[in-house]
Amino acid sequence: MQVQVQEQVKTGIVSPRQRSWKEFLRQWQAFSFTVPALVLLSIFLIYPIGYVVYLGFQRWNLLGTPVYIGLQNYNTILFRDSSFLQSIGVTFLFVVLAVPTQIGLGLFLAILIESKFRGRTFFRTVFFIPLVISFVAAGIVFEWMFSTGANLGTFPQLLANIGITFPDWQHTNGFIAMIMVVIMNTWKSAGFSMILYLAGLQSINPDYYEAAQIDGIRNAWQRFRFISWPLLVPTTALLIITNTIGSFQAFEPFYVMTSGGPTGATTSIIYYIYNNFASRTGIATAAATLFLLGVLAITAVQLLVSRQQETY
Amino acid sequence: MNRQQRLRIVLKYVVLVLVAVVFLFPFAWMLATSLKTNTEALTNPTALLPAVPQWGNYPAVIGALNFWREALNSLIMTLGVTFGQIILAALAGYAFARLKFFGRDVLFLLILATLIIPFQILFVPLYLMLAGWGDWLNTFKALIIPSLASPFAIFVFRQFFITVPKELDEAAKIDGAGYYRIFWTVMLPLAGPAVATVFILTFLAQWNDLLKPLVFNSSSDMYTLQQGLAVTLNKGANLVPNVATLMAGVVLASIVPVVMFLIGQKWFVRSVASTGLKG
Repeated sequence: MQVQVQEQVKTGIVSPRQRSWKEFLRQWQAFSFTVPALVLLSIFLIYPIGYVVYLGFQRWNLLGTPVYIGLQNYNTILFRDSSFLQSIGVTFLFVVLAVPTQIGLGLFLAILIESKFRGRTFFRTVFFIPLVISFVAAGIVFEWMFSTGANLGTFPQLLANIGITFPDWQHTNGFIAMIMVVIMNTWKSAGFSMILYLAGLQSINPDYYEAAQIDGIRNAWQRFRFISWPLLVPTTALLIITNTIGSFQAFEPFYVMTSGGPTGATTSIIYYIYNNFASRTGIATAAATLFLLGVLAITAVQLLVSRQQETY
Repeated sequence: MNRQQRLRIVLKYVVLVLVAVVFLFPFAWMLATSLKTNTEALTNPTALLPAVPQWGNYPAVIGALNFWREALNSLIMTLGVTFGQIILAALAGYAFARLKFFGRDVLFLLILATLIIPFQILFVPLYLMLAGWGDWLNTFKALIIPSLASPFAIFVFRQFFITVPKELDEAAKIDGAGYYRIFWTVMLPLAGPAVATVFILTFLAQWNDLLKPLVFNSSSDMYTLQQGLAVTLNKGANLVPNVATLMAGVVLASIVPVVMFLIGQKWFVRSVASTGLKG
């Protein structure tokens, strides 16, 4: 058809107006492929962003109609209700603990199984499996394995047998509760970093190692320090970004393992939003709006950094 | 091979085995506990193996949860979202990669930008919208339709279709095929790798998801498996759940993704690795 029309234009059988009509139809047909996705994205992604921001300025608890109250919700969460500020602290603490541990363990695992050896696939499988189960499953297992309830879990009991009291993370020790979630999260997520580091390591040209040997770099540590590690910088940067964004959004590990406790010590920002969305919708959406601004800020920094990297 | 090299290899295996034991322990613990009696699980947590395997815990958890219903709910939600995302993203990705239309690149950049908006901040307005539409909450409509269009899946398909040689669709064009025919007969059959990536990642994400069903479902008839485990059993009315049957439930809910992974390992690893590729 297309070719035919073009031929006809060339030979002057169809007028230019007809041609532009054909062109319009052709473009419309091409555009139509994106329409189903665009319609759904507009309704379920773009519109809700506006709705969140709008609701942040309203007082509403799902009953009656929303009332415009200006910045009052922001005033409340930032200056009156300390639990939102606490949730920001909790979230940052989680990011600071969870991001380096999973990346570090992932790198360690990748180095362990980088070279070819008997049983390599088996070990890769073992390190990867936790990634495919749910946070619900992982959280429940770790919660009960480390339980400090009336009946001690396996590890607290083992320690109790030799006279050591495991910190009561389920009732009083909020910091250890956070550590427990980080341990579970590291176990569950390290496989992701491992896979990306493996891909990074395998893309390093072996010539570099040979050249380094000539330059007097001999032991494994020096090879890693002066060749692999610098060449893995893009992978590390990518992992820091994705894991940071993922950790900021953490909700399920806390919901399952600690229910946000003890006394809010593991109530992340998303958990705070979840706790408030039905009873104090304005508060929850104001918090969500601030969270969105934070995500945008992090992304802007990420873009700036990656641009800088490209230029040098 | 000299002594030092041999020693190093032995040392490496020792480290590998130790780490592997740490990684496998939670799974072994989960299986062992799922076969203990509840009293055993609570009062003798350090025993590695159950005294007598209690296979009855599995029928018990199926009875304690509305198990088959919840498994079916999980499956319908997961497959609905997964296949829907693949179709919509393949269509859009094809147009963004291979066709020319006014505003295409701006539109694609906009879609890329929405990648950073997580469901975690959208669930409040989505909940309110669905509640306002009357009969959406507690239905598969709510669990499936809002998740159908995925910027990430569109991105995966677009990146894939860009790599398909131009000659293929040009040949079809000369044969007089329209865009739709080219898409269905030439492009989609080639898109296996992109389909696999989106299928695996979306299937895992949906099967394992808790937040969406937690917010959109209040009726226990619509609970997914993860929701049943987390809400009904682990945070249920009784303060101390039956730990042994709870673990049986955890095992059952994990079987689907673990078996899928063991069968399609190569594809899983590839899909996860591809999430790290920047376009």
